[in-house]
Amino acid sequence: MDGFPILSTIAYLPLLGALAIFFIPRVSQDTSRRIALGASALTFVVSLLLLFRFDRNAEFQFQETVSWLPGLGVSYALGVDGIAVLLIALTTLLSLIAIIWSWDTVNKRTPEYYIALLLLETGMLGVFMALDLFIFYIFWELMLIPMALLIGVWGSTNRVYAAVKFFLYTLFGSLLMLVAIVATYQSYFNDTGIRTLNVLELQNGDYGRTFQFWVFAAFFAAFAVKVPMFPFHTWLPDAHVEAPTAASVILAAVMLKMGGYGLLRFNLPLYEQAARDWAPAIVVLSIIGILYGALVALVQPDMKKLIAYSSVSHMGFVTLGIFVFNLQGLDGAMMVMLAHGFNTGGLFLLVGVIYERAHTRQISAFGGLATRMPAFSAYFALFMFASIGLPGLSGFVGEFLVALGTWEYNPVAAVFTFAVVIFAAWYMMWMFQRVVFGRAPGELPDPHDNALTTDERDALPKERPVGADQTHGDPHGHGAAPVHGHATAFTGRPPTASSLPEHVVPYPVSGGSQDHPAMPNAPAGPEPVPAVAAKPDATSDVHAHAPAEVHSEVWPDLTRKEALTLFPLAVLTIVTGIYPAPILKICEPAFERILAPFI
Amino acid sequence: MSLDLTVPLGLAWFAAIGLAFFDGRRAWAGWAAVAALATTLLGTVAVAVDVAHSGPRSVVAGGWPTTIGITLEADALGLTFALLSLSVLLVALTYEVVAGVQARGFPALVLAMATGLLGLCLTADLFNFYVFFEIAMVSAYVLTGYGDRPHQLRAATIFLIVNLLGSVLFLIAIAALYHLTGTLDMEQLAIRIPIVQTNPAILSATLIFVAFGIKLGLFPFHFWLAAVYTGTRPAVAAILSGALVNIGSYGLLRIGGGLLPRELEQGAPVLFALGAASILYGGLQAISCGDPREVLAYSSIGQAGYILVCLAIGGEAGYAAAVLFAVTNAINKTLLFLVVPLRGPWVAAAVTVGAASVAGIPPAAGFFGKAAVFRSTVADGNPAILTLLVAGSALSFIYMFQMVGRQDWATGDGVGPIWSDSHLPATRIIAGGVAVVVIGLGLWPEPLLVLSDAAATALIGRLP
Repeated sequence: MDGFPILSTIAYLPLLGALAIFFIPRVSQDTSRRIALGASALTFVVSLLLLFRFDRNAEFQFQETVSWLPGLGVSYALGVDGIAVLLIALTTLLSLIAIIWSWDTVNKRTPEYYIALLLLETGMLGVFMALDLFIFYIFWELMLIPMALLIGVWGSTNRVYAAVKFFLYTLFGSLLMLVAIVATYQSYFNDTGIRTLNVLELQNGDYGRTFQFWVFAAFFAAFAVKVPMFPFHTWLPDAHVEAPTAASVILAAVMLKMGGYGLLRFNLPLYEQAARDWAPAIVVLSIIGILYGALVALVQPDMKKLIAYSSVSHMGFVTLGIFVFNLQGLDGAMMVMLAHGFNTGGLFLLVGVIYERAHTRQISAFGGLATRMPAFSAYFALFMFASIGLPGLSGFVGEFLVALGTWEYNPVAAVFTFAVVIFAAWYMMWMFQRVVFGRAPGELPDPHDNALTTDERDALPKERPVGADQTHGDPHGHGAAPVHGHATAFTGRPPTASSLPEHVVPYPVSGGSQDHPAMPNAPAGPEPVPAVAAKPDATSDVHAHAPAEVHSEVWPDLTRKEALTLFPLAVLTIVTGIYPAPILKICEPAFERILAPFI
Repeated sequence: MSLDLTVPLGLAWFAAIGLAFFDGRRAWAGWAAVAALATTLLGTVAVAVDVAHSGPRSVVAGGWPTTIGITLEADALGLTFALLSLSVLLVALTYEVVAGVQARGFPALVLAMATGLLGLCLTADLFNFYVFFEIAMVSAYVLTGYGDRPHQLRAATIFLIVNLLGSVLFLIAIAALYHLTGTLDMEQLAIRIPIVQTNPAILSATLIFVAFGIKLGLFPFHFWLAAVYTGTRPAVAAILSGALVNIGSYGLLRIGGGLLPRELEQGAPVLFALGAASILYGGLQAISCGDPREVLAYSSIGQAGYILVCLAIGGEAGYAAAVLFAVTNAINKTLLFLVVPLRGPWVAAAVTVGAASVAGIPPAAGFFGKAAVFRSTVADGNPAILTLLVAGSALSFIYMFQMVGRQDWATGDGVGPIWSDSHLPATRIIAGGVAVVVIGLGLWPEPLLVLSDAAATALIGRLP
């Protein structure tokens, strides 16, 4: 199989799928879904093949080099090392998951949606493969447009604002990067007389210190926006909140990794001196980002926003691990990147699960899901603990290694990073508690709860609606009629807050600290309300910014499709948490090469 | 066998005169003009192929003795701009013929303009340059009035007055140069200019710069541009921004870079300043505009600034970047002006391609223009200019993104009345073809790169 362009195959399979959807006249929704699924599944399989055939003791492999613009010294050069091969596998897996996830949640302009997703996949894969700065830049820009479209067309209420913000931040960063690419090219040409943009060749160049300082800064700007590093992060919460679930997952799990990857691939090997000069500032900014992201995540009322800010915090570990210049740091950064891909990807999918059912992401609208949706809650617990960094799960390995590496670099800095573990546990577990435990909105307090006052106990109906916690109704929880009839059979009235005597609303907390103070949309009168605010279009949400009337008692637990998409991520987060050695091993030659000048 | 230089020129000229006698609104007249223009373009291509193989060549039209007859000379620089202008004219003419010509003289005027543009790119004599320049300009004056609505006439009037002023300045400059050197032959001029006194030469150079600055729509000579581009028909706007604007770029390169390099170098700070002002002013104005045509008009002002900056950087790299940028910019603007009045899914794709090209996002051709400008600036090593270019480029991202995002290109809500009369499938095919060219040149930019390098070499090679 030598000489077979396996990298190009992986990169362009999704593109082929996109072209197929584009050129089939009047393509139906189902056909486009199947083509997208087929293309991404095939890509995933080939990328697994790549992963298994990868030689763990060597550096760049599977290189493909074709001269493209000889006059400029541009060649089509692809190649992967251990870092890239892992990120490629992550990309193909998450793209496949995103496509399966979108199967019945996206019904608006479906063919275009899958074209954008597949183009995005090609762009991302190309970024991880390119060894020529020019090719890299093309793929970098290529992936930007479909992502902006995914946010801007299939996002929620404020999507255009978020898409423009995302687009402009990234474009401005990449503009500076273009200048830096051109400058490096010119400088190398002036020194050696060779026109080339190949990274492996440019590494041999001897660049002046001031030159390095500025060029490094320009590259760094592009990657810091992508990471995103404090203070370049402000586009991320908007983009995440507005993006459709699948795009959020890809954005968090793959696109943020491009920043870290870019730093490892270009900034460190090309401009060592500047990396040293800039390192203190970057370390400080990383720590600020870690703490700031965690603190801001604490106060978020919106689940997606909370996870977005937690991403800022986690990705701070990546830049920190890279710029302490030791093996633990780099290992840790790589592990954080992968773990963040699994965990945050999983968390965004889980938010998507309840968003599908409730059409809101406000934490205050939920409660008591543990009894309603046990499988959901179990997955949620797993990814939450992994994200916090519970030992034995993937999040722990990376953050621990980074902290170790940081200790070697500067113990004071390491102390700060340890401190964030408390914040991470705080914001994550608090959200988990509010959503999964406590009492569902409108659910009656437990009569056996000793904390109830006498008045409240009197106000309770004599019989507890024992059937209300079962799952029934249609499988997607969108139908109103059967639910209504079923629930009323037990209580004689719909189990909603509105149907209860007014003086007992709100109920006191029982079985937890859960309370539901903000329920402005709850109708005050006794008129019947639909059990679920049925929305024909899953991507539009009028309820996104105000807690809506949610009726968790009618929600089905995870469907097969949802469980299927979450399962591989859960397995990966456990496996890499318990036994991360293969991942560290596969990256070792690459890390040694990167670190060689720093030791 | 090599084709005589006079053949394409004469063909366009006689076709223009012949068609002037007929009603251009008839379909056959329009298609005859398309055929004549296509033949002219083919002839020029043949000349270009010949020049590429056997080097520049010159001929005295009609067999007159040298210094009396009209000397034509074809080199890479002139041919690049000639081919570009003719292609743009051909595309715009076909577009208009397909959409339905509404003015009697349109086909003949386009051919007359083709004659003017071709002639001024191929002439080796400054006076003849002026004559061809006027032929092109007079056709442009009439073309801007095409449509006969009050605002089009207003635009035409502004255009006429401003550009006549420019022409007068140019004529004065030519007279001054003749007085200083005693010749108007470009080769002789280039030899004699360095020995004349500095001040009069600078003065003539300034006048020439102002004259071409007006054509290019450089800040502060830009004020006519937005009104004209917005008021006129799409094909005419494409002709103005894709073909006529080449007079400015070509003129500055040929006369500034080729004849007055010393003066150009002395004026470099001023060029930098004006280029910077153009880039920032055009970009900021474009951001504040809502009408896509206005956005494009102001974008043209900004893009002219890049050409000026390249010219000020000078040297082979600077001139090559200027040529490359001028070519990609002309193609981009042609595409966008032709496509903005249309609607449909493919139109949305074409607008996106055009916008990406103006913003310099690969794989559109505009990326190479931008990259070349960046490269020459980096090589020049002036951080202030580099910062400026980055800022200007960021502005172009913003206004192009706004322009694409502001309207629903696929379904056609909010289309103004003037624009709805060209909703024909064929016009969309033509615009789509230009979009394919933009992407194609982005994927395989080798021809553009070779052409611009050859043009810059030809320009430098002429210097004594």
